[in-house]
Amino acid sequence: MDKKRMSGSVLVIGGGIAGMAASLDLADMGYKTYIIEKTPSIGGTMSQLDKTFPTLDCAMCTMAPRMVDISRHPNIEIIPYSVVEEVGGDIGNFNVKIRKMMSRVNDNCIGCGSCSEVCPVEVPNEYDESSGIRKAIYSPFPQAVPKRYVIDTEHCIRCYKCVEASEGKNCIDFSIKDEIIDLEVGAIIAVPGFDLWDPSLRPELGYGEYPNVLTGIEFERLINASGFTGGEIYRSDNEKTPKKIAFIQCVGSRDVKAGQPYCSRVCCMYAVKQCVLVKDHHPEIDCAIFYMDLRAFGKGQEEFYNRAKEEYGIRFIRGNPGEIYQAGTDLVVRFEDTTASEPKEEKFDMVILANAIKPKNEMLADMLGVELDEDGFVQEQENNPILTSRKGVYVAGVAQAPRDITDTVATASGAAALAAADLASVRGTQAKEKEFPPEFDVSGQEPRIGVFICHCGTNIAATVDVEEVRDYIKTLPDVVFCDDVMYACAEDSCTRIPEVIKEYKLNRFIVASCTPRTHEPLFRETCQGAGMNPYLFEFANIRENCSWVHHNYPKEATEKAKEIIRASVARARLLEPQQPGKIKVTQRAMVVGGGVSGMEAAYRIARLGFEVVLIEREKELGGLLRRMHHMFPDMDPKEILDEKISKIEGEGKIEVHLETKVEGLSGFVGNFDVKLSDGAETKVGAIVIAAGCDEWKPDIYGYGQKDVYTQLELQELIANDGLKDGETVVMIQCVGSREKESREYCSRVCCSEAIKNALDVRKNYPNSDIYILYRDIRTFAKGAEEMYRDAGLNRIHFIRYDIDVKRPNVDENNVVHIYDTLLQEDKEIKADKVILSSATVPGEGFEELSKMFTLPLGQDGFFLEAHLKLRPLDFTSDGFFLCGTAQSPKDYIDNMAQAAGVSARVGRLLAKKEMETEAAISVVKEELCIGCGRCTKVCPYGAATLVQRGFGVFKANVNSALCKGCGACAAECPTGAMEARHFNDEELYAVIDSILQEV
Amino acid sequence: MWAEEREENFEPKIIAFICNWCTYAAADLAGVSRIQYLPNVRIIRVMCSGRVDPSFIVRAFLEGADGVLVSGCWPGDCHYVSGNEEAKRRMDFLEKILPMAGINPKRFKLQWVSASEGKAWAESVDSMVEQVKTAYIEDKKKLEGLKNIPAATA
Amino acid sequence: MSDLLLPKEKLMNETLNFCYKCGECTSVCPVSDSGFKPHDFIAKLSMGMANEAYAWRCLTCRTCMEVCPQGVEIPEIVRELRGENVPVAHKGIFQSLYHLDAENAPLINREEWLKNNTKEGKYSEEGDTLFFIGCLPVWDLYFEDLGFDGGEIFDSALVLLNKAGIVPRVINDELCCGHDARWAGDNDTFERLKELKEKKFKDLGIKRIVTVCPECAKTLKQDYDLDIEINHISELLGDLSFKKIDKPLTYQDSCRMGRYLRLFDEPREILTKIGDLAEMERNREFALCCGVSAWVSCDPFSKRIRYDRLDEAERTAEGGYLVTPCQKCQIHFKCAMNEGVKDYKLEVIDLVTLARRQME
Repeated sequence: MDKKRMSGSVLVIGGGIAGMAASLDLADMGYKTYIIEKTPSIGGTMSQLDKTFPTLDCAMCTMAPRMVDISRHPNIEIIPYSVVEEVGGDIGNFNVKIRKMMSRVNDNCIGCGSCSEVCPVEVPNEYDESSGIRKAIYSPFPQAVPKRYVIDTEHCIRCYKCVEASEGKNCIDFSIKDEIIDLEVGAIIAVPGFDLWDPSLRPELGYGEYPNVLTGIEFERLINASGFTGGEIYRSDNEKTPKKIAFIQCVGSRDVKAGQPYCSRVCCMYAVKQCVLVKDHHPEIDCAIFYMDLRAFGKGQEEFYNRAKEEYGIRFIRGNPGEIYQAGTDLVVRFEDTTASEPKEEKFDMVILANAIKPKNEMLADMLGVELDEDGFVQEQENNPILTSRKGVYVAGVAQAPRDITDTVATASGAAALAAADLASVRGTQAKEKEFPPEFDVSGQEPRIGVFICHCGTNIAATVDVEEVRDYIKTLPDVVFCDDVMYACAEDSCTRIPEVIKEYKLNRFIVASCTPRTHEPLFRETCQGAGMNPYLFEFANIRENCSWVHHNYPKEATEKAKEIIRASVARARLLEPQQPGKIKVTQRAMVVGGGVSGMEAAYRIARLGFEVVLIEREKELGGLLRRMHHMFPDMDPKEILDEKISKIEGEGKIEVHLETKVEGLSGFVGNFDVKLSDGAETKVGAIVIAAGCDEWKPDIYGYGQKDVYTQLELQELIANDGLKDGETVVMIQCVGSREKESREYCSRVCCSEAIKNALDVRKNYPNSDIYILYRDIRTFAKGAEEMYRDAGLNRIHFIRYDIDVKRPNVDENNVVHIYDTLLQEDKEIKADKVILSSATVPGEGFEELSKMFTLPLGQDGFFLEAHLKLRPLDFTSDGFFLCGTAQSPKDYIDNMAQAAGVSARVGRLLAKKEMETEAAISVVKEELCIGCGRCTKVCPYGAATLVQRGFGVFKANVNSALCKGCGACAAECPTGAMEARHFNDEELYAVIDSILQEV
Repeated sequence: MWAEEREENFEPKIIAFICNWCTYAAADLAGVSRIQYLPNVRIIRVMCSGRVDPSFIVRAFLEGADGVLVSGCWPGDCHYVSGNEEAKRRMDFLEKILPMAGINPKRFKLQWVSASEGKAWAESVDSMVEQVKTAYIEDKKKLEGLKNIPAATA
Repeated sequence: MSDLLLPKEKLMNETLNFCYKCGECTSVCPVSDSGFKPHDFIAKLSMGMANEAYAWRCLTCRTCMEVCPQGVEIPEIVRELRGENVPVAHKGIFQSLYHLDAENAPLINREEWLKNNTKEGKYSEEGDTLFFIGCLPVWDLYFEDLGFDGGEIFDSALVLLNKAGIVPRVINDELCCGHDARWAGDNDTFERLKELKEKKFKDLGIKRIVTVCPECAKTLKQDYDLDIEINHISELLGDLSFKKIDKPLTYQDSCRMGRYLRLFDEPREILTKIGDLAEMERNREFALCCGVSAWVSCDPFSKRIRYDRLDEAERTAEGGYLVTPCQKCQIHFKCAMNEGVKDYKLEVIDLVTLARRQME
């Protein structure tokens, strides 16, 4: 590899949540990132969702801020409405040809939407799964990024009404053709997302034939408040609200005949989520989920499932329907309730099919030469779900195997870390920093305010009398300049702003137009370009909050616009320049925990070019791995351990401390001072918690009796040939897990572990009688479902029990008594060996670590991440990260993904020697502070603390590195000592007074 | 006094403190989707509903606001983790105090609107306007009633 | 009834000039370390040179007047100088509430609070003895997190009054007495509240008013033109009997209760029936102010005074109660204790609450 020619940029193929997470991590680390997306906007499937399980966060609320971040990041370039044509070259220097499809809309588009309003062509809207409509010239959804319209040339009838409507903007150009652009990138991250299996391939379910049979995603659009029905659930044939809805799981998944032998992993949870959402709006609708195994295995999911059963009264029926047919206006579902051995038929109004996830990887295989597995997903390499068969090409998300948002985000960050590691030597070479002229000083000056009032074409002007507003605003004191413009955000207006600032010696500027949420950064930067501090810019929203929503009240809207701008003027008078803070960053990380996740994380961070201190409290590295002999799906833990340890030793930057704990910690993000128990002291910028879990020592099912073992102990037995051929081995699942009174969560790995161990027993002791007693078989991981099938072939008997019906019992002679719910009969099995799939529990060191680092533990005892879906590897406290079983139980593959992912999160923090802190933060006016400490009690980030200034004298202090500017402290402060900069009390009082003043 | 200064069939002016990440996004969405609602509301954008000091609300009423609305993220969804919980705590006691200062409780509302609920935002404005108008009628009636009992008026 | 209600001109032109700068006031003034020396301030004021910002530094505790040989009425002069922009704590929210009170008088509605907090006591909607509760409901709601239970004070007062043979009247649309507005410089609001209430009491035929709040009692008695008997509740409980409590007690002579109303003995009579009352070093006429008045001057200096007083109370009655008749004192003390800077082995309790608990 010719280092001189390595490109410091990365191509991310796919703009869904995986692509977004990967590109933000890469860009923050200093790599130029191109996101190429086939549709006109980034967002992907997650943007179509209403809420995400199990927390029921609104998907768009959590995504939209990231989308805006991406749009303004100096290191990210979005190439929408484009596809990859050709890829040549090698790691470090890929030559990619990209085809930009002819959208016929050029860069002058500002997303105003006037074109779409007049377009006469209606087309089924893909975003709404073809249920709603869009126009031939369209933007896929309101929060689209970039907000650029495109023409669907297939349906466009060339009436040119859109060109008329966009008068004077020159944004629609029918001469635009497909364009090929060339990119040179150092690495490629393929995150194309997924497709869904067409359920009409199982005609007995009636999809495509009956109007009220929908797929999961179609139903998601139906219940989404911003969907085509506004969130109203009704039948498409008679527009009535359904009374009963059936949800059918595993449609196409776990189905060898249909071609998808694997589990699609997310459907159980999304079906439960959808039922809960339906019940929230319409408690009277009867919801029934038909399932085989309810796979609620992730963090928070079993708890969610229990709530769905108990609080919402959702019915769960174990038995997959064989047929759905129409009878009159109803859909009849034919199924067998397997727990009652009763064939049944039940009428429903709607049926929702959880259809299988299918890979969408043809392009990857064709163009990138990436090896796919037999199901079409990307074949993982070296037991790593992020590596592909082609060097320099990484994969994340569902392209490799079905997974939910939490696991997708972890793999995406992991892909970013691996790509960044390849290009560590050229980090920052293509990064852009925005440069601005020096700021002029406004201290002591009288306010001189300039105002632009935007017509936005007719978007504002059609309802609000812009000239009347302009003439009124001109009369306000301190307004030195006021003019109306056609499009404030267009090039020409943006060039005029600095000119006007100079000419009229303005020291405050207001634009009255659309919404600050999208356009404030643009105008702030425009002002910065004129030497004005960006916080002296004020935005007045007279479009989204006024003209667009008061069409029928033009007079009132005009008065409202006047008041809105007058209030902005009142605020602008009081605005002060704000500067972001700068703090130094120690470019070193500490990883706490030397198990397999800790080792991988340390290795990955070191590969990014940073020093790592790895501490482990035992005598050797390896953690729980040392107790294993055979790992799911088919790995040798010893080999893995050796490999990891040699990687650690080979990577010079990692300093290992064994038999060591952290004794003292002080400081904050970027600047931690650490004291270790072996006497060493060090400074680090980031800390990763990679402490591991334990296996619970059961106190039920006869543990303690002879011949009763846990699964880990069984591995030991098999390795030491401790069984005899011909023995009866009975495994009991969910021992200590899924127990509402003590440990509600699912331990996630035990089903796969048990089956793998059972197969090992079968292999070594061919004449054994093996039983697995289970509640749900949760073999969701890649290869696990196939292994379950294999288990059946290997005569392993599965008996389903239900603790609400009858709990299994192991008596003192190791006779296992169980009630088989599927055959409805009691059974007794004399076991030679009883194996308990004991719960995965928080490590015994967790509580101590939690106290030492002031990091929260969740109710389940595992560490609590910042956001379960979108920030699973961060803590809310800046500078702290977590990965592996510290976050929740998971298998090796998921642990590796998280370990790689966390290294990207750390990399973002350590990449720069100095980090900028938020400018609009809270500050303490010490002379007014009485040290009451109320602020410290409401700050979620620990940014507000009390410091001692003298004997018995305490003052509040805000750490600018940690403050996020929410202002909760300022509202709590009784003396007004705490000032929320840029949103302080004076400014808000001035706004209130101004709005309410009598004109 | 509010009820005396306003004329019959007046248009109430409502001040709304709304948080940037959820309700303001919903208001924008309502705009983008062209969902129409009454022009009575004046939005004051704050970063978090936790920024809203009870003194802002009392100030607004003092300066002549007919109604005040505070709107933030649903519990558990706060962009700044717990700001909306602080808002709830403060608004709960403020709600009880306001009638003691002669402010009809129907003139004040704390609500949660998430970023995807454009329609819910629009509807909440319309319903707040109705609510304030009802408060006006109630207060007006109460004043009329008091005029007829000589000893009780102040 | 208003011997202290001197018109502004008289205060500024005559009373001010009585001062011959003996300095006795400054020697007892609790804030004289902060730069506000009363005699110095008065002297400069008479020459037109005073820094009027200091007008808010004074606690208006009236300790100076215990010793002033010439009756210079320093607190009243300070009050007259307070105009707008007096720094008030809690972002001025209470001032705004009093102002709204004055504007919206007929619409005031306290039904729910009265209903929720009347547990064992009884009140009536008729009669000519009024139990004036003032802003107690607002403090009860606003300062709940400090452990201030205004509801218990209210109910306790009712129970005590009932035992003393009084079923008082309580009105739903009661206004603030205006004490805080007056002492923070908002004379307009005070005058309006005064006018509204004087008329109301007349219309309702009130002949006697009893309060739990010394500030209300002082204001109604000394600053209003009422031909009505005004009592603090402690004046009416002399005949009741109480169980003894096995905890040390000490008593805070709140400024308005002691130095303004001169009610030193009545609370002590009650407390000596309840337990062993130990006096703090500074008591009665020279009791130390809690450090805040009318929400003005909540600052580090004031906080020091509070801690000083709490230390003194703890020395006197460790493991027991600091009893105060004034709800404001209680709130301010509890605010200081809540900061957790020191773990005080002392509980601050209202006179009425304790009396009710020990009532036989």
